Amino acid sequence: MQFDPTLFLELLFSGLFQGAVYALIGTGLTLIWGTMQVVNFAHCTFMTLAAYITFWLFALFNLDPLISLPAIFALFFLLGFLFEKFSIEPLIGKPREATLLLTLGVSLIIQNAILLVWKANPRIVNPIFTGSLRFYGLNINIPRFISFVIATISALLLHVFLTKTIYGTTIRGTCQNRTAAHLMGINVKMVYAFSFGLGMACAGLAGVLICLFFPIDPFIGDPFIVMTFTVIVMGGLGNYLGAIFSGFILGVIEYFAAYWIGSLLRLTVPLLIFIIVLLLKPKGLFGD
Amino acid sequence: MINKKIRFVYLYVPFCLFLLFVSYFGPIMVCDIIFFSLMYAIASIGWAIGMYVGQLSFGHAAFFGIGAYVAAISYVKYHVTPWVAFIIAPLISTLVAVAITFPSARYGVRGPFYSLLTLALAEVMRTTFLAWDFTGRALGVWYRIVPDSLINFQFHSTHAPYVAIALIILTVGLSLLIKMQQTRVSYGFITTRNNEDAAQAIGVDTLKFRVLSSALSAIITSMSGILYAQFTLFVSPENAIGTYVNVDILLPAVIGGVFSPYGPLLGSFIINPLMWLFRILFGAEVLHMIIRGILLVTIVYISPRGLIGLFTKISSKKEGIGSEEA
Repeated sequence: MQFDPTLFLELLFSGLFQGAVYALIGTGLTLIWGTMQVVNFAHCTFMTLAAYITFWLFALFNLDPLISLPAIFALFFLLGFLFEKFSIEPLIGKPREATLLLTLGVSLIIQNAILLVWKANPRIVNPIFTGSLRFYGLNINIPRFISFVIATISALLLHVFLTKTIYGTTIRGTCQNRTAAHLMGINVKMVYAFSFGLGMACAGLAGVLICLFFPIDPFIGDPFIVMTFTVIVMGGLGNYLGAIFSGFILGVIEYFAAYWIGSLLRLTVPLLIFIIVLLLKPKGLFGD
Repeated sequence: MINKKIRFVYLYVPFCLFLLFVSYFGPIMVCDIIFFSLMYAIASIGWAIGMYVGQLSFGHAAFFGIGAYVAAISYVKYHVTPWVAFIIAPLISTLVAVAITFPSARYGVRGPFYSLLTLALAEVMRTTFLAWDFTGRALGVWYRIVPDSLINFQFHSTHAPYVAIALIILTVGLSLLIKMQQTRVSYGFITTRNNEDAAQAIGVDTLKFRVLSSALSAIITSMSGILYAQFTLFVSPENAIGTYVNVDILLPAVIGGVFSPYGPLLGSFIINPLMWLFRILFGAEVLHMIIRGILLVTIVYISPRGLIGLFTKISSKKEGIGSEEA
């Protein structure tokens, strides 16, 4: 096969654009994991829900996804906050598999409720900005590019929030040692609910962003589940920058795999990477 | 404790005879419900064995799928009796289970990571089978319908022989489990589950126990996959390895009680008839997945150890025994 630089670059950019969404969801998930040691299995289902709410806002009120973005962010923050307060919190201290099973059950309920309400046919949201940009012979899809920019900025903002502000420091402190954090006067339960809300808000954002360039259906979250977990495992659990980087890496790998191995097997390669990383480097590629 | 076990055995034998009687003389739909309950009970018992060492698997559909595909392919492609699947499928699923569990026990992959790893395994298998010509891609493998015979493992005039075969497998599996609970292996399992590091520190070979449990678990679940293939006579990546198969496998054990051998059986006989009822009443596949989700969420709040766990909690309070169930 001949090396084609344009093709190579296009695959690279498509991968990076897709990877930005992975990075965003992964950051949210790793935040939840890092703070509470809870694996939120329903994360990607909440993303699907956000996509459908965006679709509804678009179809009913003709709101562009970019306008509904802040509303969805706030809504999902609230949703995550309340979800943690009322359903995860009572389970802290119970056997650990309880939260796994709970979030699995919740994801089943939401996914099938979506299927019931919106039916299985794919829905399309037409954003204001469409079309593609030609840039030195490269085709750059504008909605994808916008989603890339927004996802990257939000993931980086979250990182800055967690490392530079006092609230972020509180969350990270709780990650490191919840007893000590409690003794320092941190309201640990509040931190849990807050970081769960923040993580969920990231999933909500990602849901809006995939609306920009994917036709959405109730099962859109399924490939994301393992993908996102791959992102957080590769990045090292609770490592936000690591999650961002590995999101990009995985997106690129997915696109190259799709091109060379075939579109059906494109998810197999990242999954194999997940298995290999988990077995050989359980602390993640960027782990300490 | 011994009295309790004997009581269960006395209950179990009439229960089996009753099921056989109903499936031979009752309407065929009741027979189907019994068969599906038994099949998922077997799969779920397999899943529960993994839980004995604290390995929560989200990917038992992989082993279920191995069983189903081995039976289907050996019959459809190689024209040998599906019974050979009872030898080949356990071998393959043991290999896969060991290949996953040995490195993860060796490199300390545990808890939620193990769950995700198994989920990834099932997904890899599903996507591979979707793309592989040998497994018939998305179309799956279709059986030729042949007259009833034991050697072809197909029964159409009555489904009762399926129930009988499922009962045999279930009984073998259950007696294996109960025997195992009386040996030191069960103590190994419990220490590994409760605290793997501490267990290693006192010289328990946790790696051995984890590998053993996952191999046993894979074997039993693959048996159930064979039954599934022979009953539905059609195997595809969606119906044998699909995401919801995982839920179907783990739900009976979670509802009935993971750490009791009879838990999955109880759970399966609660949930499957219920699901058939809903299917008749409402028809929508979607709705009863929601109900599955609601059941899962509810049981997590009421008693994470399942219904049997609820009973033993109450009875142990009454008798003043504080020990956890093995």
